[in-house]
Amino acid sequence: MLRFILNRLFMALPTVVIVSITVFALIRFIPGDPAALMLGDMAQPEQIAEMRSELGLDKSLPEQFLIWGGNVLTGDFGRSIVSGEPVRELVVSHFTVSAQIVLVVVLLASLIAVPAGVIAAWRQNSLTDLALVGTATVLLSIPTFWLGLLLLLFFGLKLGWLPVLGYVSIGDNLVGGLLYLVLPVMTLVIHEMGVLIRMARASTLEVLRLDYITHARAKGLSESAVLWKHAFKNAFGPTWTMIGLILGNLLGGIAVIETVFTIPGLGRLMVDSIFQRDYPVIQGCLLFVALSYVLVNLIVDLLYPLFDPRVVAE
Amino acid sequence: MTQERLLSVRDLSLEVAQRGVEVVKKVSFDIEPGEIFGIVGESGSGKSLATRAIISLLPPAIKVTGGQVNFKGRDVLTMSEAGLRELRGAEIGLVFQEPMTSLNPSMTIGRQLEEGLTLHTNMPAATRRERILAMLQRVGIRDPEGALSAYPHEFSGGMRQRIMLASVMLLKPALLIADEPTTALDAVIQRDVMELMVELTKAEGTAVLLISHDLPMVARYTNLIVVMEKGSLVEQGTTEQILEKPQHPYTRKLLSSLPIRGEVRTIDTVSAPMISARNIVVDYPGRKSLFKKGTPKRALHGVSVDIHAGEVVALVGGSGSGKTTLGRTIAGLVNQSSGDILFQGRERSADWRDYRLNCQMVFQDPYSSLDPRMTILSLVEEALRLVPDIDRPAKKKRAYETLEEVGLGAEYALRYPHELSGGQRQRRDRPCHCPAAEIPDRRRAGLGARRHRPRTGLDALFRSAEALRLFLPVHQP
Amino acid sequence: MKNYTFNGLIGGVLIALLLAVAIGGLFWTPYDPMKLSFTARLAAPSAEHWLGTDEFGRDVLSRIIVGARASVWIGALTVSLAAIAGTLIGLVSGYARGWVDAVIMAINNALLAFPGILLALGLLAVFGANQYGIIFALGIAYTPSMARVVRGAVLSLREREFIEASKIMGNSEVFTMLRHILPNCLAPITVLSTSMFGWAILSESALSFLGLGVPPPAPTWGQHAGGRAAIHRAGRLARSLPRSLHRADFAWHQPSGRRSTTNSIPACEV
Repeated sequence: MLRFILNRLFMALPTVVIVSITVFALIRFIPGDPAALMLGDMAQPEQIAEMRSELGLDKSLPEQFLIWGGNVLTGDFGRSIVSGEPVRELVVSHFTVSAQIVLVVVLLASLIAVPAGVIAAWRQNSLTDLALVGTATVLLSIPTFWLGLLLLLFFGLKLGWLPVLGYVSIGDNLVGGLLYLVLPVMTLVIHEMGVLIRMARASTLEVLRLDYITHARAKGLSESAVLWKHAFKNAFGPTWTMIGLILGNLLGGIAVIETVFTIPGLGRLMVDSIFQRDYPVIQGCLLFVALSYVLVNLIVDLLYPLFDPRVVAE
Repeated sequence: MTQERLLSVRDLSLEVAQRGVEVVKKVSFDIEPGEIFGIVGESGSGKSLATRAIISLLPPAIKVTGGQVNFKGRDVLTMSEAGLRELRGAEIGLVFQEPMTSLNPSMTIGRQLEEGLTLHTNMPAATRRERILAMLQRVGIRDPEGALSAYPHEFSGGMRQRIMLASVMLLKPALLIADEPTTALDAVIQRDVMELMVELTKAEGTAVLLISHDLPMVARYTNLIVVMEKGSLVEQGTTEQILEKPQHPYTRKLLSSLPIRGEVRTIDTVSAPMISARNIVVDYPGRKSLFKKGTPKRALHGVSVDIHAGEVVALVGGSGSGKTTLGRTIAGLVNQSSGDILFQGRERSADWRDYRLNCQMVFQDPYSSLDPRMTILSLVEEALRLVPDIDRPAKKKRAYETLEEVGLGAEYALRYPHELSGGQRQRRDRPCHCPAAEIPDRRRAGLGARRHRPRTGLDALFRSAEALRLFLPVHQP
Repeated sequence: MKNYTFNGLIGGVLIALLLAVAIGGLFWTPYDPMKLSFTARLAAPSAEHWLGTDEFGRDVLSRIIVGARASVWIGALTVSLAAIAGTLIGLVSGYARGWVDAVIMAINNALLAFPGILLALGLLAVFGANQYGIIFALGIAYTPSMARVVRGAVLSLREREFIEASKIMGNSEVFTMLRHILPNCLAPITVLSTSMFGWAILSESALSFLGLGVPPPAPTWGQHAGGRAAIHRAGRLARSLPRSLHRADFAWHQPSGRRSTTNSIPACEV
């Protein structure tokens, strides 16, 4: 067991290193001189040269990477070109907003979709199954921004139940903050449910065909015991992995929904930074999200033996 | 005569619900308490479905269309789901063919065994544990205490089947249905498990319904046998009757698949052997991990074998004995760590091209040994690709000739492998045509690994479930 | 089985419709999609303008038709890029094994550690926010998934007996690769490509929606839904336009049907 954990941890290491190199390289590939950009159109060549050496841009790329990597390790992500604020604080404050939404979404979507998928599989080809699979397929294909806009129109403008514009932090005003979160969370939950229902159904179907399910029935167990004690645990593995991936993807892809609902989250920060060519912030966001994605998947991997003890032996 | 009949099946008929295909047709048989009863038939003969109907565990697509199943005087087919659940496990146990999938991989052995006891008895936890340990001991698990908290993947196939037996016999059912219980196991282990099953059931007075395609195996243990073919019961009688005086042609066919010695060939042992393997040692690299350097695993410890022209050599051994490795080494798929392989007296590496053309292999499973995206013709032609001095029309002609020779007419040439066996899904029929097509030129030497006797123009081989055979067809260049 | 072909039929019809609209738009649209009309801004659907007009008075139906072309074009190029690059990388990796495979896969897995849309965002910053920037960004973002699937297929095919049979026949490894392994990889490649086409259209629309896609005034589907302000003024836009987009993606989900096969790799959709 300990070997399994250490193995997985070591396997994540090269990923972290390559992810960092990629993020660093990506920003360096962006055409244009960051120093010139920071100083604006009126800058003199000497000023630019001075800025370049200040930023370390006159050094070789590997050197630059090491300096940058060293800074990141000590928690120094640089400063925003636009606002001059430290990138770390910007990223962390926006990240907390996004993370709240994402975690709630994944939790709610799993709680609804996974049992639905299992039941669809159990009653394969019944009306319940067809209805669930049909719904799932439709949900899968709806672009989130359209769904978000429709919900906004309906609950926000037509019924006037929920606020349309703006955002209040939960910390400042619990009830008010929650009201602002209802629509974005609902949108994403509806969207992610599609994938999860299909996944849970497919893996449950796979398991239900196996002999040990018949064995469990032949022991005289009731259908619900067969389904939840024997089938569910074995079928949950792939869905569990999927949940991890969805969590990560949401962290990266939440920009759209944050734009629709004007939420000051990480995705919005990143998009705005791209518009403003605020490279240190783009870099910080990319690295932060990619590393949290790696972390989430690592945790998912480490917990996987709970559903399938065989992976430890492999 | 006053003894109550245990199980009585009358005119049982089953069909595939949506398509209306009858898969079991009016099958009747009786089982008395404590007896061992055999049902024999090929896969697809409906024997498994018929027995699943006894405990109402049919796949959703299969429906009962008629007949009765009486267990201890109660009609099983009309029983409520709750009544059935009381019957299952407690009165009727079920053992499956595939020990790899019949135990829940994510549940410890202890919990799986306990489940049935908790459900059907009121024993206190301590008694349950005691009973389980005693049972595990009895089926030959070395460390019963440790086994309780172990997961199925930590045991070998034979051990899992023993655990499966333990799980079923814990509740001392009146009837044990064993569906091909040993088919997936090695010959040697097969026997141990069967003996154990017979011994356990005898001690508890449990009747056994033994289902298998292997008539000789069934005959060794049973008193009564029924033979099923294509959903119908074609013959039934005592084991002696069936063995001595089989009435139905199908039964005779099943019996004739027992080994018979073919004609003896004269072999030229004077000239150099066609293939000569000397002291072959093969090591497989061990699995490497971050913390452990891989320790190589030795699969062959210096094996020598000579095969003369026209000779058929059989390699027999349990799984893991290295027979497949030797075959693959001679075929050149595995590199030996040391030792030499001579072809017609010369080191084979002297002329690899020539060796490749002359040494061919027939695989165990023709479905995976033929590229599914190529037609039979192009598959056969491909084998001629590297033969020197042969132009396209000649290749085509030769390919057609070869197909003809192995009993596949020109009409098969443009089909794809999966279309070959048509409706026949029976396993033993597969190797007949397919691998033959793999040997385009019978004048070449072949190296074969096959499980079943071919029924076409190829040479007859020994038949033994676990044998791997090396053979060289009669004609030589 | 019956169900499956039925789904396939629906999907096929929808795709044919999408392509027909995209190609037909080359020759004819009800109105000039770029023509502004300040007298008919945000008009409701009518006999004249079937789906109404947008905030600049442009005919919505015409813009959907022309937008279809851009979406199909971007989707097709993105998928081609990802399929070709991914297949090459996967073949080399699965074929070479050993340390080459280890290195390629380490990089590949690290790239997979970026959520697809995030990597695309980062790449967009490099390539610039325009049509080709999107194609390159999405193409590169999808490549690791394709490479992983192809490599997996190659590795499992290598174990099949017909590959050994080819080896015994004396065929070279390269010949075996091209003649036996590549054709048998086509099924997973096709399944993944069809899914990717759907993701690409969706992602393009999402990026355009964020303002990072094809610059206005060229019509694309994502842009159409864009402009939060406009939506607040005329919800009808939101209701009519992306619906076609949704249908297109739905169409692509049908033939690829078994999404579970591609679910093992991270979904790149938004």
